[in-house]
Amino acid sequence: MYNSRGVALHSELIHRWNHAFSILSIVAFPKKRLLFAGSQDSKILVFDLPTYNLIHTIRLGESQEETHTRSSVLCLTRSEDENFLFSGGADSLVRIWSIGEKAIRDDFLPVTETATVYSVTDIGDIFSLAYLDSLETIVFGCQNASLLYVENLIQKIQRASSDRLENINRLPHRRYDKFFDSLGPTGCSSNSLSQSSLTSLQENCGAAIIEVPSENIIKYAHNGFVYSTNKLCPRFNQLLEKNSSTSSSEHIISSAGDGISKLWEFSRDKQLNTVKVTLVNDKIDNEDSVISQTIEFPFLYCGLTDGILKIWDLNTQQLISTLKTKNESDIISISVYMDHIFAIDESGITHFYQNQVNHWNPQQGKILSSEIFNKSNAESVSLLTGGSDGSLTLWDITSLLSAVPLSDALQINASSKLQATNSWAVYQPASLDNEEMLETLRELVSYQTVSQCKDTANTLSLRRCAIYLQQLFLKFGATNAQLFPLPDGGNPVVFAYFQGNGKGTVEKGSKKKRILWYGHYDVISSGNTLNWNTDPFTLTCENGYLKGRGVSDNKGPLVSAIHSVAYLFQRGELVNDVVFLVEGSEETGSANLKHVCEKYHDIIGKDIDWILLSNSTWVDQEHPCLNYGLRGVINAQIKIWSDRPDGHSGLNGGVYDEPMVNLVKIASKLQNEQNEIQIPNFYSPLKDLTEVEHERFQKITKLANIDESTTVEDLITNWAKPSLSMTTIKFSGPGNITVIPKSVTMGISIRLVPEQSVEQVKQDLKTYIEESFKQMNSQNYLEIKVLNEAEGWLGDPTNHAYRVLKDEITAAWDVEPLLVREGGSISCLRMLERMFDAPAVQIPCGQSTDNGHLANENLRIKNWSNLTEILSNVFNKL
Amino acid sequence: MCRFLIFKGKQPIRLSHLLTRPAHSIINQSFDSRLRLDRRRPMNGDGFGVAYYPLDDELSEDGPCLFKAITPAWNNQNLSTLAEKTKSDLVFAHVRASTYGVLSETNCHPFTYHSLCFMHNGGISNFKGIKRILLNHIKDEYLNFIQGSTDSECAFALFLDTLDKLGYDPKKQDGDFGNVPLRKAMLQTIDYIRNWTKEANKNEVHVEPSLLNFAVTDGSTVIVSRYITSKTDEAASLHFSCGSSFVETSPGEYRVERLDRNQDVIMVASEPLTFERGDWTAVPTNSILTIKKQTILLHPIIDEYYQEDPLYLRSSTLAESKGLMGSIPLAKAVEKNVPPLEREGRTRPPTAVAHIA
Repeated sequence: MYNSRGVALHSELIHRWNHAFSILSIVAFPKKRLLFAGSQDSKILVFDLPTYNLIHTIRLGESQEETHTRSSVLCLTRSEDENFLFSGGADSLVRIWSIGEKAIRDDFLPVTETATVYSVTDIGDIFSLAYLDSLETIVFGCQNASLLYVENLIQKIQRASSDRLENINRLPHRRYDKFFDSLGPTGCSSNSLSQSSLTSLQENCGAAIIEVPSENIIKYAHNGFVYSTNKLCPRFNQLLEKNSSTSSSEHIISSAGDGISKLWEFSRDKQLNTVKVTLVNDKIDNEDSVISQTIEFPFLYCGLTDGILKIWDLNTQQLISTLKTKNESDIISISVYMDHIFAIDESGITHFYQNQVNHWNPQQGKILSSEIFNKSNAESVSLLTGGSDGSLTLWDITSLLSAVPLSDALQINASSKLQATNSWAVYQPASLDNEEMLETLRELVSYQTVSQCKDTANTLSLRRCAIYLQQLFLKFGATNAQLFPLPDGGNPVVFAYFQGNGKGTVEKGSKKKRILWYGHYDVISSGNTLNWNTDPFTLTCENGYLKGRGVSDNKGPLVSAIHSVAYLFQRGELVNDVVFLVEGSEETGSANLKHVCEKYHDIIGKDIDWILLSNSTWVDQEHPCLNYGLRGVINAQIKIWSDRPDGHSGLNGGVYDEPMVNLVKIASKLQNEQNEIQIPNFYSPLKDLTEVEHERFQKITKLANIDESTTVEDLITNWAKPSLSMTTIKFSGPGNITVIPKSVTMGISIRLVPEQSVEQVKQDLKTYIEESFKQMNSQNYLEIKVLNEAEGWLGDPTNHAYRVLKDEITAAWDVEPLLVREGGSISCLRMLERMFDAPAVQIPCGQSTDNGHLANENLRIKNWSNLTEILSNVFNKL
Repeated sequence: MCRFLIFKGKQPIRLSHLLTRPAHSIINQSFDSRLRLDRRRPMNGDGFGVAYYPLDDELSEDGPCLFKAITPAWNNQNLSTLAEKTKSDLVFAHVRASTYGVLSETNCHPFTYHSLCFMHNGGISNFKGIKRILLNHIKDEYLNFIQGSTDSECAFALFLDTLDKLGYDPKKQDGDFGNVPLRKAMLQTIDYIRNWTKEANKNEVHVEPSLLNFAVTDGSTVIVSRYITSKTDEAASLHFSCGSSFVETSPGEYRVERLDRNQDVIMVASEPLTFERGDWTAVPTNSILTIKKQTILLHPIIDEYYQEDPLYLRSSTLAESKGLMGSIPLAKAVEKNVPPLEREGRTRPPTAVAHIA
């Protein structure tokens, strides 16, 4: 098998078993090294994993016939401790088996049927089972669209078997049968068969018989067959319930033929000693029958008809990605192991990973079931598939999981990722220690969170990163941490709230402040990795520098802020309230941040006092800076096109109005010979630079280690004057010098100063261009499109926050920070200021040589740790 | 004592596998119905009808092929030949024991209107009392569509009118109304009948409930109701079965093979066709079954006759007295220790019944 890049991928066939009938369900008991396979002919086959021997066959039903298919085993599951096996199937019964330890010498495995669960309603086939260990509750999904459960199972089994008499009483001794006991056309009852129902009286029955009580039947849990019920690992409860976390509840997700995936909460009612069920949400609509599903938190993978596979984020109930198998037939089974997706359809196994798709056909007829498990030594990973030809195959996919082509090898290595995932639930003390912070940053950098790439791999990485941050906040003790979904399904905004718990320096009478830290977890693409000296998505520490994509923009500064707040909080010293707003679409223009802020205004808090961010660098390598001004921006496209197709200058030249000519004329009117921008009113709001600012600029040219030829005038032009750049020209046609293009598009980028209103300039620009175009009396068409925009920003560097920061920076660096402005833009800054009616402060972290957005992005560790120290003081002193 | 059968398959099936060959096919059911409580009229002998949607694109225009006769189905040589030589992936079949209306071909089900096809198992309570209201309610074109004299045909006319008033043209040649509009129209139709009969029966002392097992299709979606206007009685029987294929295991004996979750073969029937109890599941009383593509959906009909308690045992006496209750025939081997299942017709142990009462 080869992937698209010609790298050989290995999934080795370890073993193949053959049975006469289809294998419909599989469950592995890795600790006991056993494998259970449910078959169409009402059997459960038990294999010993070390020897690959069939060591036991459980027959279902008490039919005299050797083979019958009345009790086909459609689903199997087990308890976590591997002491119980549950089977469900075509006979509408759930059977519970207790599984003992295998005798070492003779392969004898004690298997006892301990109970049978049934319902008196006609539930049809049982398609899915889930066992909630902590509640001792078995949940099953049925053909009649209902979900049934029995709680306190172990207790019930014990009670039932200790009370034999009652048990016998409840057995179906007296059976009246409408069919057999009804009269034939002649008025006689049919005879031959009715005997068998009489002889069916049985004195002894080892297993307890448990009826599902009325209140444990969720009628119409769906409107289709309930094909899947999967348990959610209890340690994720905290993430789903946002604010509260009750330990005595578990969650399952059920999916059905109606296409809906529903999340249910099962929680114990301590007084009644029962389990009650609540539908948490049913917002996930796959729009097509869900045949199979699996969960690898935070993602829900749904296998649908026609080979479609949908990946959902459970946290925000958003569709993240849709994949499709080549064969376009129903996805019968689906298994996922650390982002490796194995979708099973009748043509075989399709393996999705990153942007690769591999397919192989294991020659088993139609594959009907699959399961992935770690062998007990945890090193090797196995995939099992059961087929319609009765074969069961075991594949070693360990090398497949690690055989990642070179450029993708930049991903996190699998085992470290697993450990990280498993350690989520552990409360972790925050520290200002570089080592601890490095661990956090290492994990953050490992997520390939390129928001400009919309492919599945990046989308999943962005989600995982958001979840990681949410988890991190909770781990550090945040009062609340949740993900705000974006309306367009984009990368969620991570929100966290640390409630001030320290007495600290807040003076009597003065109110506790609420500070908002803004950051982002998305990054710019690494570009060509050959230009990098280190792996962009593996944090590397060399010569006092952090290296990797995002270390400077913006993951590094974000870690500083998180650790400084968490450190204070955990020591009970956090004086003010701090909220974090960390978005995943900064590099693509923060399109929906405003929407999120509006929608969740109440949760974020109305009474924000200060907005802090660290999203830029110093002007040089030596002088710490404080930034108080940014320019605004309008990026726009001017498009002119004609009705005619591309022309030829010999045939059509001079005959018609040419779009390119129109465009060049318009472009020439945007600036005059003195490079003054000709958009009406463009300069009129501008104010002269104050004396104070002039002095600041002068100081920068004197002190900062920048190009010596840079004058104060240059700085003013760059930071405090507007500009207009013509950046791109695109045209239709082959680009041949004789071809007259049918359409041309020009890109312009206008940088604005804070005095200018974006709306006004936009309006003036449009009117001006439209007027100029009109004067040409051209037959062509004009369109002006604003691609993105940002308002300019000017902070007050003399306010309280700047003063506090100035002092702290001076203390940390032994030198006063330079007060600088910047020629660039941050689109959300003014929006945040307006939304929360609070002033913003921009604290540059790294040096001018950080290479943000470029190859070899880096951040000096000293800058990073100093920022943490500065912030831990600032958060308390504001 | 009517019976109906609906088949929808991914692959077409020979009609004889449904109609004539199975030992318990509806044709055979019509003279050897396993539930013979209706002694007055032991046979479904008042004619039959089969509607099937042709496979050929040219032929499938404007609805199904319809074959009806008033002779008893088991005596019809034409039916045997036709069934043997015809294949279809969507079949509606009905055998009739008249409850209302005389014996004539126009009174035989199914009824068709362009792409739509409809049949009914049961009866509208006090139909005489609401007939005028119903006929006044519907547009002329649907009034004129009625040719026979049965309550069922009027119910179909009402359904067409309802679909029309929901904004869908029932004359649409290629059908394909979608499952949501069809289900909505079905619910609305049931709702009208329920309200009108309630009004008409206001002063009656003893009223029999309406038994409304309706089936309708537009050639792609199938909607079937199992409904009764009573909170305590069981509706006329209705079962469904689905699987990967419908196979003949020995002459006359069939099985629905279920290998995986595919519903390549779907059957809905008043009385099961095979002798495997596990093959068939009862459609819950007062619900609607939808076949959307090859997927079965189940929706409850929630009104004053809906029972919240999933274990509530409706009385089947009424449906049985009308010969509208079919049970599942059993195969030879019966498991000894399986607990009672209602669909098998076995009673519950007295202890279990007691806790409900």
